[in-house]
Amino acid sequence: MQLLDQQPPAEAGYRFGYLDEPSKHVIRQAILKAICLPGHLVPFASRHMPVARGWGSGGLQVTLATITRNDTVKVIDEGDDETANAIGLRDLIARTCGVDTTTDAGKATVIQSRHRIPETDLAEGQVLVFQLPYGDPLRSMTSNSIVMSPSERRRMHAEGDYDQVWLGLFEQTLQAGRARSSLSHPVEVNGGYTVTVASPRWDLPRLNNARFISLFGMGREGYVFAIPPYTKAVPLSFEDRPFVIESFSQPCDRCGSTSSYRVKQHVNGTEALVCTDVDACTRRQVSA
Amino acid sequence: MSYSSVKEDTAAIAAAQRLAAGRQTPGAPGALATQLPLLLDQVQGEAGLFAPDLAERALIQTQGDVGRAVGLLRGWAAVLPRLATPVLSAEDVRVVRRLTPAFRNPEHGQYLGASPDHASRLLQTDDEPAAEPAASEEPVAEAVDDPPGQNLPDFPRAMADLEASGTVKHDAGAHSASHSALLAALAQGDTGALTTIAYAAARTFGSQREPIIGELRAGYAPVQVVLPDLGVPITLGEVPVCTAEFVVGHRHTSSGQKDAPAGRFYLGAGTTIGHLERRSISAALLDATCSRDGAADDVGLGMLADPELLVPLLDGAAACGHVEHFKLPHHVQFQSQLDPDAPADDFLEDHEA
Repeated sequence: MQLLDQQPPAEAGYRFGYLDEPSKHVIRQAILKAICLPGHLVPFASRHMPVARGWGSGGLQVTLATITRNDTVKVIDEGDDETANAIGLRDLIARTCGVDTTTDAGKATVIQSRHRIPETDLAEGQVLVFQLPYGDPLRSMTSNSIVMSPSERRRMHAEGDYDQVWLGLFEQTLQAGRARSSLSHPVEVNGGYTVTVASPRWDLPRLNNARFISLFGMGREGYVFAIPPYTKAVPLSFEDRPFVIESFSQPCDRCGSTSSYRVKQHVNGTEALVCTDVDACTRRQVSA
Repeated sequence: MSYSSVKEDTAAIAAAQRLAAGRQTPGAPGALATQLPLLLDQVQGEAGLFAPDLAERALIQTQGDVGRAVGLLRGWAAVLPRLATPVLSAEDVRVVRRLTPAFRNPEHGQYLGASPDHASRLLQTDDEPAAEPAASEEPVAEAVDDPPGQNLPDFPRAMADLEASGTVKHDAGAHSASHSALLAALAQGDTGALTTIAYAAARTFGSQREPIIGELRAGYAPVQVVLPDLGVPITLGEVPVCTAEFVVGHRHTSSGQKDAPAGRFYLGAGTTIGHLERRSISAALLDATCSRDGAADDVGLGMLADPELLVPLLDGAAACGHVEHFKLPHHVQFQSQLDPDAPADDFLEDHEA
């Protein structure tokens, strides 16, 4: 780490990676602890970043504390490299680190993402950094989370007391026939801690025994957690109500994929479904 | 212009930035310090950073968006080295204004100083200076020289005697969040949130124990560092600060004996950068609310009196950022909610009748 920190700044007036070394130190400590305790929400002294709180400040801190001069960075927002927030974050990372950027998920060594896991298969050594608002199912799956103090939730995590999470899933299943958890479906990591990862259910199976490392940063809440490579990460479900991902009625209007995560969009006056992972979709169009 | 997934959007984003910047007319440097000093104070108070020149830059860069200006300053300051964390006492502050609503005439008296309270609240529609405010009827220390801050006595804390006698206590040990962390969050709290939540807390107090300000002090706190070679504190400058201290009296609670014993009072303190009395009063009221044993169990106070739940609500940068993040694309999330296999909410309402 010491060697990395002696790299000169990429842009005059800013250190490499923007953050000062003591800040990087505490973030790295938290990340290392998070990797040692998969799925454990590790508090850290979240810095105020030159982006708005809630716009990826947590993921950005993880990225900037992790990145080296030799990395190649990809930033996506809901799967798209070219949305305003993705462009802004990528620009900030590139300017303060002087690293190469790419939209190719296969070539990136560090990928910062919001709400999606790239659909391109990631390999060993790739780092996927999630920016997310909350990672705690005790917030999203319980009705009284606003009055449940963080220390109470810490106690429940420590004791594996996820009864309220199961109860929330049960109520959803009872009312709607299945979990209606959207982007906050609880995932049990390594048979222990349970988290939410702010990605659609469609993405969750690819976290299980993944070859890549997943780091999750919550800047506003001041927590990180991690899912190391080759670690069990299983969406919670009942034995007789299996976990179901989102389904789509039509193929992608652009690449024709029937196996991607798609959203509705107006194309030439009619409503169609298109892929949200723009890089993967573009690659499919080119190779078709 | 949509922000959907086409490359041309990079140009659209650049154009949007140009359009927003075009509305900005830079003024003379220092103009805000003379025209809008309290606004500058507020930005610095919420940022937790005393730097008037930077605060002015931030306000101009954000076209007067206080929330964003605070974010710029905090982001700028976040990566500065922390050289010293000096601890000051209230008596170290050079006082230029002192009110003691709980005490008619404390030692050394009260001192009105520059009071915002007695200025006319008639909107001035011409450039005539407002009429001089009428002389205050409040007891004021006499024979204090102008300009303010010169030759004023070292005002002792008005609450000191009551604290020493045990009539007033500040029970900071009742919480898992440390008291200094609470005070720091209060000092940097969003002004609107501080005022609103303090107001909500004040409304839940019955008249039996209406909170009372023991003392309000505005002044200048010395910035001191201990130089390694000298080993003694060196004063580098002064920061304008405002401090309020509240007393909250005894009341029987539904849970019985957890409240202060009869004749005893809880103390709450709040300090802000800048001479912003509403901020320090609100902060002190919330500290007083939190310092009372069992206050969080009180039906009327609830989460307003639990520092763990209160502190996140006070963070203006977090609140602004999170509320504004809803502008970001959420179609991936919405599609998941729309998932045709999941019945819509009206399905439930129809079947629950």
